[in-house]
Amino acid sequence: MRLEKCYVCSSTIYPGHGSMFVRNDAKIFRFCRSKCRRNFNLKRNPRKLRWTKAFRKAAGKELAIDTSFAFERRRNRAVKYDRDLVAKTLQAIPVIQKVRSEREHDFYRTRMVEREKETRKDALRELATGLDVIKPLIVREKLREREEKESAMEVIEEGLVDKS
Amino acid sequence: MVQMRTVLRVADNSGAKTVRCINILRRQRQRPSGNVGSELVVSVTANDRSVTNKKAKKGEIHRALVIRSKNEPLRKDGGFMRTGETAAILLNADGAPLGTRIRGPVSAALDRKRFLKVLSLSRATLFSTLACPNRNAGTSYRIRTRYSQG
Repeated sequence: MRLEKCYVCSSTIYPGHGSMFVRNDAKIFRFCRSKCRRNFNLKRNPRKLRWTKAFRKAAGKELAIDTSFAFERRRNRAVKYDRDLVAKTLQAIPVIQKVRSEREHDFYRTRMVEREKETRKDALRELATGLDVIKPLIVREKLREREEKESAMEVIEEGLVDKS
Repeated sequence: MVQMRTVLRVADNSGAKTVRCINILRRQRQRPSGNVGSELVVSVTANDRSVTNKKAKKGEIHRALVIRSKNEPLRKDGGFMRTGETAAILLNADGAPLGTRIRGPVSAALDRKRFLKVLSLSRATLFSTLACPNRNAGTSYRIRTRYSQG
């Protein structure tokens, strides 16, 4: 039994699932579901589709290069059964998974910290330059006119009070 | 799916380029259509100019075998396969292939006992699941394996 990866979204394909397309030069493409197959038929590039693993790794959104990925590899040589080896492998699987998930989490956290800084900076810059959006020029002029009128009225009123 | 008057591409060097199906032999339960592995009676509709020593010419009637199709029936292991085109090879009266070469992949859904010669002529045999190791790691298309079944 072999668990294949989807050509488009690179999710795992279990036996009996998905479909397989064989081009006439005998290159094989496997798809996990009809969504992926249709996207392939539309000649879309998986690296440009935002929901695929290929995009996320290419855009630096996920951990792409790590030693913990080296364990999962296509090995084309059958290994002779060895009880000790199987025991060791079974022990190692949860450890490796834990290490990998921790590293992925770290990667995400560091990425988010930097992103927060950038978004903050962007917001401040936008506030400084785009004040017009919040208070348009016409509104500001009208407000100024109103203030001037009020102040003028106050002056007149004060004069009236003084005379009386 | 192949039915009467379907035009198929010929994937061998027999000299025919396209053939038209005029009968499907050994149909199961009188189904009107054939698919991968079914034998046909065909008439040659176009010559292949790249072949100099033609064994089949336009207008002749031959037996043919469907070796790949756009949509195959489901495999017994749950696999589902598609290929780019529906193609056939020509057979002689004894059921042996007329050509000496087969272009492109051949489905592993063929009857192994009857068409062993066809499977061995092909460069690549397609199994829905690759249960067995790839013998020639250098050439990715050569995936013929001995143990897995289609």
